[in-house]
Amino acid sequence: MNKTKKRTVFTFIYAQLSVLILFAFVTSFTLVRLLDVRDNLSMLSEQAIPQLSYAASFNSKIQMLATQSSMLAGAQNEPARRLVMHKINILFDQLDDLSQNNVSKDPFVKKQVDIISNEINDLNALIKEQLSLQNTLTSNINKLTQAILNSVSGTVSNGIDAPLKRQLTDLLLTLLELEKESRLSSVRQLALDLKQIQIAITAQMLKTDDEPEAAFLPEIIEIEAIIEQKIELLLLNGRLRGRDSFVRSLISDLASNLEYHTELLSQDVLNASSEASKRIAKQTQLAIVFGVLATLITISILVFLYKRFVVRLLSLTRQIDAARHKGEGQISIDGSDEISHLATVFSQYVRKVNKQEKVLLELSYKDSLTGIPNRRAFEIRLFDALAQAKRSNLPLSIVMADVDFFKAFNDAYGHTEGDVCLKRVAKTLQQTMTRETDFCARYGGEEFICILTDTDLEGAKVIAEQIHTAIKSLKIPHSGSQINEFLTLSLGFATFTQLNSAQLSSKDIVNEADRALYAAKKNGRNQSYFLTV
Amino acid sequence: MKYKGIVGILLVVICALFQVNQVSQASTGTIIFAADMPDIFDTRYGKYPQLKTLIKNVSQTSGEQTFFVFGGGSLGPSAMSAFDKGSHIIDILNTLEPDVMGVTKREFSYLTDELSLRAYESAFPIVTSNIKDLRIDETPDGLQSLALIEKNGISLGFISIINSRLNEEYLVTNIRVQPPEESLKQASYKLRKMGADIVLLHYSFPFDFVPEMVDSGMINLAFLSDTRLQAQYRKEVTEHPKILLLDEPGRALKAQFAFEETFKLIDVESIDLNSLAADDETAKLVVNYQSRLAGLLNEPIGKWHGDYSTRREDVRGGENAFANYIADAMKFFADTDIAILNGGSIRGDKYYTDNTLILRKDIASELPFRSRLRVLKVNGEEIRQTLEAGLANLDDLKGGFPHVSGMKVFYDSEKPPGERVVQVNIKGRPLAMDESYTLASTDYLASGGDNYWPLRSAEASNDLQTLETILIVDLVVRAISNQGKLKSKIDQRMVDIALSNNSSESTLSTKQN
Repeated sequence: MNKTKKRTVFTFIYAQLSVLILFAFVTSFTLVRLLDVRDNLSMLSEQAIPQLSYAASFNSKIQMLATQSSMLAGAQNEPARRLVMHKINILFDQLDDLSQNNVSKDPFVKKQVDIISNEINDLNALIKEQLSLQNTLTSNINKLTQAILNSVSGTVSNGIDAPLKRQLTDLLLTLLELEKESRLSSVRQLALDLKQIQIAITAQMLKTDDEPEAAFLPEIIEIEAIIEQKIELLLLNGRLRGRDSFVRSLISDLASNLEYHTELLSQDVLNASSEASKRIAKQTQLAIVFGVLATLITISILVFLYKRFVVRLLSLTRQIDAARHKGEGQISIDGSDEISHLATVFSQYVRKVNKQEKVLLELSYKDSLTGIPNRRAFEIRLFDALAQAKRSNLPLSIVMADVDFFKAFNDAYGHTEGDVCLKRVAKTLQQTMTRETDFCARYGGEEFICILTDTDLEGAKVIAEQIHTAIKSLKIPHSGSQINEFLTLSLGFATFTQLNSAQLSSKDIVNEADRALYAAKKNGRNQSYFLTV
Repeated sequence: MKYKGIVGILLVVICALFQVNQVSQASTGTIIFAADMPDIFDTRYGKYPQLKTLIKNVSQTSGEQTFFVFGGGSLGPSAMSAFDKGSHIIDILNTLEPDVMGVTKREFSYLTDELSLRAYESAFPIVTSNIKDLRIDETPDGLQSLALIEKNGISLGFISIINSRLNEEYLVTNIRVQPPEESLKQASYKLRKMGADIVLLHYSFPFDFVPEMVDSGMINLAFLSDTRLQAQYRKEVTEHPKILLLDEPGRALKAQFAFEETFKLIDVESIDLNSLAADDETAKLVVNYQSRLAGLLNEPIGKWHGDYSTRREDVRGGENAFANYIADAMKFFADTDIAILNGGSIRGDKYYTDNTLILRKDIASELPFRSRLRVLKVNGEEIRQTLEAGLANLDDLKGGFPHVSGMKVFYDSEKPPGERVVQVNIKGRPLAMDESYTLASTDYLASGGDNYWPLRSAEASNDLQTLETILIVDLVVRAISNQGKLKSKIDQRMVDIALSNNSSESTLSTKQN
């Protein structure tokens, strides 16, 4: 019983626990996946995308640096140089800031930036030197040119002869050619030419006795300096070009390096995003699968619970109702749990109740003294017998029996003996009613009434004879009887043969039987009187 | 009078300043020849300070007319030149003040216009006698087709000729290499007409017509600068008395001559520059250039795991472990089916020992051309043709030897060029002629360099556009940095079946792990 009692509880508990666990599992699973997604998205939004952004900024600054360094190498004057260098310094400051945001994990990038910075500073110094030298050279050339022009035009001196003028003109032209020359080897050749011209000029001047204004002479000495400056300028240009090339190559390498790192970062981000998307997709699928599974399992559990409990309880209820209404029927629920036990108990209860009801009913229809049906039972039975007789149009006989001089019996022997006597009479009457359809009841006091179905007058007479004989055989002493020493009965028979046409009620029938009994009593008792209706 | 005095003083001063010497009838002279000094970091080649000392010594001690002729082969390729396109070499040479410089293929390492710029920067004439710039139909801007140097009454005419393989080896498409013999004759004629007493020829490929030219008197002296002269040519060159051969790095030639109506070679001496002290001024300049890259290139990136050779004959003559590493790195980086790299891309000509540090400089020296990665789509037939092109000049060690990754190639070196590929396997399966493969290579080969013409028409893959900015050298440096070491070996991916029966005659000198 205890096992049975607990089984339903445990089943219910397990089922609920299963649902709870499933719910907890699905929730946890979803939560973990969501946290994973959140982590991935956090990584993307807090690290990868900012890094990409920084890398893009860094790359952009590097490209601008390449442009600015080319502009620096091509600066034609000091203001231009200063302006570009200012922009370059700003760019390096910005690059420094970006570096601190870990644009690249490669320390070589920082090294490259430092080297580029040093190279650009050196380049800047070279350019400054170049511009200064260029200015000095230009100034010196202009001075000398002016001096020569003054001499040739005669503004400085008069009387310079034609050969000297021609030589000065050659000097001027060669000087201008030198100024324009961009090839070092050619400059060296021009230097030799200038040397030759100078020797010719001085030789020419020595030949003549003229004493022209020698205002331009000091400048002739400067030619050597001009040539040296020009050579140095071209050497400087060469170094500048080389250094510019060097810087641009360094920047190009850095840009390539950064582009590679950015590409790696982009690929990482894309892979991470793709991975995250795949995982989200997979986890969504898993979540759907698990969700569906959990739903199915929950539905299964609910169905199970419904079938296990609700259906069975409903069945139990129906069976109980049926048993209650019909007053009979087995209440049975399959299984071996509390509900089936309840069903069993209910079944037993119903049976018991029915039994008790039956007993009570039986008791309610039995005479408590004699144990035979009582008047109530007789009335119900008579109703049915009458209806049956009407339907079947068969004769029906009613016999009312009364114990003769019963009061005197009680007076003589006492009520207890009187009760015994009644019991014996009742028993005897019942024994005489051999047919199942016949019915005998105690009508009241010492009166008994019997129903004889399908019994006509002749049959009633037979029964009467049997009853009298049976009573006589009892030989119950009756000192109070005025007609016999033993107990006797008076019987009144009413036989009905046209019940289907006669409008007779049960009361009418009993009245006729009572009239017949009265007649039997009036005729001297211990006899039967027969009435036919 | 006062005026004449001043002018007189000026005359003396000017003469002194310009060092005008009395014209003398100098009958002897010295010519110093040097060449092939591209890498100032390389102790074998970068002997400029010592060369300067030699020039100074000869100029000062001999008292004779000294000509300094530089035979080129130096503007590239090198780690430093990769950055400044050879400017530093011109700057250094300007302090040495050569009288003239000849041109070899290496001067075109960064193409024609960069060479023109170097010529503008140089204080000396740079001569190339058989090159025409197609754009102007003349000798490239800044260069000269010949030079006449006059010193103390001696006129030295200078001619420099070059091999026609320039176009395919260095992918210089805007120039034409004219027939060297014809160009030589024309230049010699012009120089003689200009009054050249001596005609000096500089060349860097052993043309077979040169001895005859010397013998005929068209040229008086020939100077061959080829530190990689193969044995097959050595005999005819070294046996001729007027063909001077500079065939060892770190050396210079000193030729003493006499000229009296005719040219006479008196003595030739090969000088080991290592035996000379370094000139301070030049050394300072060299150190300055070295220090600029030192910070960048002296960074250690890993260790050599095993012994490796990048000697010319090892990278150009057969499978090489270092070349395998590069090809593998390219294939891995680009995620392609295969990779091909030509042996001529590897220029270090060095030997590295196990467990020594790898500096960034080492890799930069080995791969100085700044080649970039290219990814192509090719079919099996194109791969076969490419391999044939690479194996065509196996005998001459021309630099086209294909180093591969992702495939195994069986070839027969004894077969004629174009018929040497026997079998190619990719991923264990024979090469399918119609099947498409992805190939990682360099921009140089993809443009048809080293006669890899099948790759010129191959379709470029668009999948890796960003990564095509990556320099091969950076890619290799990254690969080594990531692993902390360079570990590779010869694993029979290029198998010469002609050699397989005679392993004792193998030319491969690389030690294997």
